Amino acid sequence: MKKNMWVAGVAMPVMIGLLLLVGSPKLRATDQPSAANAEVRIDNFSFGPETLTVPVGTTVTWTNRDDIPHTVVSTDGVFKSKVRDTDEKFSYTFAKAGTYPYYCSVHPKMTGKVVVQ
Amino acid sequence: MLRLFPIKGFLGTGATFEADLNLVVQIIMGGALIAGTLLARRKRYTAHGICQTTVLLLNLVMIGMVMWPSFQQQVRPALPKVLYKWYYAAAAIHGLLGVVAEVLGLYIVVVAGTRALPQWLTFKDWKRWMRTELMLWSIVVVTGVGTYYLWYVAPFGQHGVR
Repeated sequence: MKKNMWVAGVAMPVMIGLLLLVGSPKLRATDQPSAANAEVRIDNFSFGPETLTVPVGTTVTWTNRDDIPHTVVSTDGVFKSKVRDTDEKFSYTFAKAGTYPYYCSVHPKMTGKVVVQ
Repeated sequence: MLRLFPIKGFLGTGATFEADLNLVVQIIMGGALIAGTLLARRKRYTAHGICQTTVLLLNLVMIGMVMWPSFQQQVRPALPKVLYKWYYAAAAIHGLLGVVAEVLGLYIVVVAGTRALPQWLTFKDWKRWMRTELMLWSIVVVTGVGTYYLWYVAPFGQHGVR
């Protein structure tokens, strides 16, 4: 009986502690998704996807697949690319959460949005 | 970001506000040049001179404010390798003819309105020079409208983007 109580009193907390140690990185990964890269394709006079949702710290790269030049300009002045010709890219890393609407300054009908969570 | 004008144009095409403003101003200026020609036919030469000079100077403002920056930003870096595309070719033809028309117009104004140039740089065959200028200007307006269409109307109509 004494032996059983020792197991319950010492071994159980150790096991629970071990389980927490193993499990905690997974919990952290779920709560705070790791930053990655994301792509926006500029094609056919539109941004695709038009709305992109990414975690904080993500670097978004826009690639111009059109045969004419485009730009990527934040409506709020957060980022601004130079004119990007065919197959040229522009990247920006989003360090803060928020919604970042943007447009092509050459063709302002082309609009998009990056939602950073 | 401080902007002088709104981002989107007001003509309902895919153009910027500056491009729409420029198109409207250019069409008005084309009309003013024709009106100025009629003034000359009625022998109202002072009014004719003021009208044509005003158009030339206003066009200089539009070149500096809209067309030159746009050309520098979008077309010049890609030249000459992309001239096979109408998107660039139309703008390049318009730009080249536009510069010739503006310089020729200013030359005519200086010869007609001042004595700044030496005798050998002046001319007396007014009608021929001015008709040439009016013809060239008309071609520039047409190529300008064509460029606007290729840049801001055709892509959005053809592909049905918003």
